[in-house]
Amino acid sequence: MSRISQSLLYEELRSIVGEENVVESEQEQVAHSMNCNWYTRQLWMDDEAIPVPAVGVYPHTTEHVSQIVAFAHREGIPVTPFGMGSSGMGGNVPEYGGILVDLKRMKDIVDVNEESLTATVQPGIGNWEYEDYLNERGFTSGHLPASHYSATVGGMLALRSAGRLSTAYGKIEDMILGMEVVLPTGEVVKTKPVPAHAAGPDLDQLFVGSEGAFGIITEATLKIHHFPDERRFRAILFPDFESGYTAMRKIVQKGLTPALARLYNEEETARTFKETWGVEKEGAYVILSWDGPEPVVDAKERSALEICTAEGGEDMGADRGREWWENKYADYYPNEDSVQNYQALRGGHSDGMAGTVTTSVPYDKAEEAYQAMETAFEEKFGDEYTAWIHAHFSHWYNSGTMFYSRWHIRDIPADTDMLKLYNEVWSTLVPISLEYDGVVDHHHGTGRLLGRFLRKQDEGSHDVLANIKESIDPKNIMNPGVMGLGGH
Amino acid sequence: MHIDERADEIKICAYCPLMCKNVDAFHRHDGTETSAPHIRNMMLQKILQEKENPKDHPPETHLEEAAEVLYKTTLGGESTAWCGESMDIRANMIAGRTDVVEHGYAPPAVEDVRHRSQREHNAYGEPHNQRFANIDSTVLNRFQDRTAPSVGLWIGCTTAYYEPEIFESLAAILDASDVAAGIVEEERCCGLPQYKLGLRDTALDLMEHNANAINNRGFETLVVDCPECYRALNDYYPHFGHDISPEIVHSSQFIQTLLEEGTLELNSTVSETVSYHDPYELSRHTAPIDRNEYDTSDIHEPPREVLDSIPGLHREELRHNRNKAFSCGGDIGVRKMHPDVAQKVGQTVLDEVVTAGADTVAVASPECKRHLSETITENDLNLEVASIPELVARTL
Ligand SMILES: Cc1cc2nc3c(=O)[nH]c(=O)nc-3n(C[C@H](O)[C@H](O)[C@H](O)COP(=O)(O)OP(=O)(O)OC[C@H]3O[C@@H](n4cnc5c(N)ncnc54)[C@H](O)[C@@H]3O)c2cc1C
Ligand code: SF4
Repeated sequence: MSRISQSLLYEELRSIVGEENVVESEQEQVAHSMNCNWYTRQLWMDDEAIPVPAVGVYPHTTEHVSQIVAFAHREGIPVTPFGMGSSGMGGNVPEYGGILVDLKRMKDIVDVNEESLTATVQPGIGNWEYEDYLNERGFTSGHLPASHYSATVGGMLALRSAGRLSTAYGKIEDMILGMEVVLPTGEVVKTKPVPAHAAGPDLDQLFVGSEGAFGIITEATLKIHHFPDERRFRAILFPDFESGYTAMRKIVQKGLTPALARLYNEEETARTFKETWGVEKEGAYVILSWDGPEPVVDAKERSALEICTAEGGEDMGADRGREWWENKYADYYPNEDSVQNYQALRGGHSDGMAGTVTTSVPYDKAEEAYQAMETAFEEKFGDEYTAWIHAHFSHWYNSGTMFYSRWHIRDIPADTDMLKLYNEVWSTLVPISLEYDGVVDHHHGTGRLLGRFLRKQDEGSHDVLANIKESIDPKNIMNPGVMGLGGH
Repeated sequence: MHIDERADEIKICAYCPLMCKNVDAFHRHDGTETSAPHIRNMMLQKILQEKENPKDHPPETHLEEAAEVLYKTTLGGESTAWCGESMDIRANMIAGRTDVVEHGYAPPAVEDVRHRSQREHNAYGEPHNQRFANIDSTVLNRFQDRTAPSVGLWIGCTTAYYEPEIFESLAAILDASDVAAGIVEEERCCGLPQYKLGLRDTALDLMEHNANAINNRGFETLVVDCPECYRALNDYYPHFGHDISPEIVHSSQFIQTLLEEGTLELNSTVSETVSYHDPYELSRHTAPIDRNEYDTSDIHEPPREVLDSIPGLHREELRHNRNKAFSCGGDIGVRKMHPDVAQKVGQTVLDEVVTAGADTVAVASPECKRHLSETITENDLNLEVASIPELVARTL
């Protein structure tokens, strides 16, 4: 690790990006560690030490990033890339100090090609700004995650993010056409933004999802789409989860590609109906939408409804679907109840915690996997604490689906080791996903929280990742610790 | 207001999963993490928490750390407009700033405003005895000479010192409508700029003085052009126990009424393509100050209707308008403490004007006029900024 003095570090960085783009204040460094990370926020609130960078730096150009990283490589200084900090997996926390490269001042929209339908952007642009810019010109990226207001395009690429309309538009890794990346030694690689190729492996897919461990994404060319002529919604209530699940699988496998496709389990359905519409309903609730020219939307919707009816689904109309869409971010705004996970801090102690497991599993295992998770969670934590878990299935593929299990624990006694309990939950749930042929995560990445499970996901693949890491980052400076790679 | 009174709201914003991070005007252009809405609230939450669970230091020591951070916002209310909980995050910031100032941690720029305001009764520190010196004296004299008029015109500091043509245009409109109005000669700054900076006592002194001065004049209607003064007189004065006897009307509302009644006729034609920029104090803040809900009684349409009645004027809407309008960065705090960010924020509004295809930005606020004009000059843009009264007066 580097022995360079703080003042030399500042001086070197100032010479690269200019004084106004180097932040030295302690407050700023602390703030960089307190984004969506439950644990660092808790520690800071209690005046405990949290990992902070030695310095935060704001590059404006690829050249800046390249020089910063080359300098860090020379001196062996750890580098943490930072987008908007909305990841709760800890990859944005500078665990080993060093230089935090905040990309938010690299936020230009470099080009929109209206004929080829591509957009080239710098990594620090916020997703809301990006989509707003496209919408104004009659286009859409098709990528609308719940963190629409709090994630950068670079951060989303680094974690293989998924938006609400992914069943039709794909995840962000399906949208990428070409990239520019500064490698951990400072060299720049740039891939051509072509629609497809057979000229060796697709290097973009090595960097997408690499969580900042293989380099810093400095530019990306992504697919864009004409804003659809028609966007239509439909809500269906199925008698039970199984029938809803079967209908969804059939709809997707028949190629009726809904953009929005959400199936809620029975508990979520009862809660949604009661809280949103004041109606007591049982069953499993589905929301679908289609984007496209009107006749195409008509045809897809008609065929999908036939499948739903055959599976016992009751058509709840377009309005309930549209209403969900119009309030699609509503669940994420904090309220009196959700701050419960933090608010009862007593001497550094919160009496609640929550988290989300996202996984994708083949169709023949997904239901079982979810049931197994629910049972394990309730058995392990239900007796001792107030604990509950609920799920929706919201990204659908030809061969399988993704489920999003949100867990909550409340009434945690004050003498509990919170971090231990938190890790125990993940250690209970993630292995179940793997056991049922699922993954460690579907769209949040692994960061420092789940990296430890990655070795168990695929046979031999973690060794390949480790070898790649070692060869492109011989001094192990790029975001050490994420994906279970290069931590100390 | 102090942070204890905003404890529940501060807690919610402090633990928000960054749901308005990208829309906050200051943060979007500055990028520093301490300007992120959740961080500003976390700093306050820490103090509140230590008040409940004391540590070995007084909780207020953290106010010193919070001091700079709390001024990294335009208070423009984008967060509230986009927030699913309509949280009044601006009130959290003002409460925090008030505590910062009262514990002696005011940043130098805020102290400077305090001294200037106490000395010259305006936040700019311009000489009080020259308050009306820039206004055409023949116009001013007519207003000063009138005895017991039923309509008053509130001038406001920015117009008085830097944008006198706004007052002169309003005067011409009133003359053309045969409305004999007077002014409040003892007028001082409305106090809202000081209140928003956390200078509560200074603000309250100004408010008390103005309330007495206004009520002594016996107007039935007071026409106010500056949105900050409008909001102060409408919401803050009564909140602090100073009921204002005349009805407070924004200049655009007053002109709209004159047009509707047929008292004002616009004769000549202008040929301009104009976009109207909504000032945040009109477009999303004309609500009582101690409530959380988002207000629907904001002034969106009168400025548009006045512009639309100007012969020959073609109006193009900005992409972000009404309650979702972008603030322009003309707020005194940001201009003083973070002029570079203020410029970038202003540039976003001007970019929208260019995209809309307009050549003129119509404003309903002297502060917006001043700030956007400076941003245009700074960036050498081919755009004009004109207040609504000026555009109307061109047709008389
Ligand atoms: C309320 C809320 C809702 C969410 N909903 C969704 C959702 O619907 N779908 C979804 O996919 N995710 C969701 N997330 C998770 C989060 O938004 C995503 O993980 C997002 O991809 C993170 O982007 P960011 O810019 O905030 O990155 P950060 O959190 O700053 O960083 C994340 C990781 O990427 C690395 N990184 C950042 N920028 C770069 C770069 N330019 N080059 C290389 N590495 C980089 C960092 O080092 C870190 O490891 C949600 C989060 C929140 C708080
Ligand atoms: S204003 Fe709303 S969106 Fe912004 S921090 Fe507060 S709760 Fe979150």
